[in-house]
Amino acid sequence: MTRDTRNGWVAGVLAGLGDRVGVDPLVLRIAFVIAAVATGGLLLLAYLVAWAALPAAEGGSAPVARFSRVARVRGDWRVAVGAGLLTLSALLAFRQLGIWWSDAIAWPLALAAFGVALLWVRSPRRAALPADGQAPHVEPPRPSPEARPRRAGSKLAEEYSGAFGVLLVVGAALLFLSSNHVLGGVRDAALTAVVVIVALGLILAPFLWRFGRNLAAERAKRIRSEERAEVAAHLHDSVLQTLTLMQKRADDPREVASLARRQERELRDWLAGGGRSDNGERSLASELRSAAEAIEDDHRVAIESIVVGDCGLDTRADAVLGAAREALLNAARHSGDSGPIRVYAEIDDAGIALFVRDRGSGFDPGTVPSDRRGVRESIVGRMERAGGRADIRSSPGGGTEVAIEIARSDAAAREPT
Amino acid sequence: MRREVKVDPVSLASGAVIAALGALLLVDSAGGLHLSLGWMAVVLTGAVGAIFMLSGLLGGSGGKNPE
Repeated sequence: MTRDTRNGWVAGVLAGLGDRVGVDPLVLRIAFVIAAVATGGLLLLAYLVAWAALPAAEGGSAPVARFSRVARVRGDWRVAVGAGLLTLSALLAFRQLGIWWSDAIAWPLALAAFGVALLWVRSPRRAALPADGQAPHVEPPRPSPEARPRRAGSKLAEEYSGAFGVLLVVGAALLFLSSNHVLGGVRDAALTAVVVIVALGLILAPFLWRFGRNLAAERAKRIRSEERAEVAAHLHDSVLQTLTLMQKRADDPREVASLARRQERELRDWLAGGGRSDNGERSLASELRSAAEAIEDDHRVAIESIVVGDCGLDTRADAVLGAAREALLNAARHSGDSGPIRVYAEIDDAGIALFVRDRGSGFDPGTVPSDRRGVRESIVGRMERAGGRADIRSSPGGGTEVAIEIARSDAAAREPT
Repeated sequence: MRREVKVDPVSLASGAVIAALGALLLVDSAGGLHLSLGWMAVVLTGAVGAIFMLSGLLGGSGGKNPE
């Protein structure tokens, strides 16, 4: 949640809250004024706390964060507990000083506020939209949630905090009713209801238990069946179609090999869970794979690529991609039937190292005519302009290796290796 | 040869809060102050809250899952 200072009257807290919950800020303002009067001005304190803790929607950090590193540790449970205890301390101090409306109102309100805060934290956040004319920020793809094992403890803590929030709000409501002596008549009815529910629960427990187990078994069976159907559909659409195509073109070994490799690639991607990000983000690893696949298809050569790590496409990564593509094209054109072209790329925070090797006839780099600009400009020159380097190691009959290296940032380039 | 001394800001700040609390209790037991149970609750919750807050703001990951 943020403060909407553009549409706000004072600090934009209520305008931001209205935007978050989808309620007209004017309604919230009227409710706030009434509640502030009813609580003897206590809500003004809450408004001040909200102003200090919330960042403005236009950017920048919260006022309190300017004096600390709050932005970095947002969500830390110790900050939450500390803020809760300090608020409690302030409330107790106000009570001691006599700036207090009534125990029957203030404590239930405080409890309810904590409960709602806990529930609020668990509610799904609204996706941040980029401002007009501003390109959305693209981060390098991260491993999918399935690939990142989620700790059972954190999930349990989330569930627990949600249940605790509900309990706090219900407790606050009961406390309010009890302090206003409304619960007396309700108590008998509630006791009767509780006894009836417990009795019904005891009677129905075996049935409910069996029902629950059957439901779980049914669900597991349905999931297995759906998975089997999905695998069958994929095999039919891809592998079987390719096998049929290979039978038809059995007289062309290169075409058959190309089809087999394409199918192998697709199957490996599918088994690895998709292989590339589904949200359309471009990354160096996925672009390298795409380039290798395109060259494989166009030139009917085999390219074995291993890419370790990944990063987004910036100027340096673009230079590496362009140089790698040129090196692959050269290898595909000149290596002939000397076996697969091998690409190995290692991407980490410090830099990118990429090697393209082939076992072709090779060449003497010193004898390349000056009008041939493919190696000189598209590989070596491109990398030097981007702040990296490219080495061509080749000898007649000994194959060719293109080694490309670049630091990810100027700071990384200055560090000794 | 200079020896680098690292100061843990969380321990330092928490120690200062507890020392202030101790000083307050000392003044109270010496008769300089008359802290009631209500004010004691204010001071204790404030001190514990301040320590938690400082630990969260200045400390490390707090046992969170590193990502």
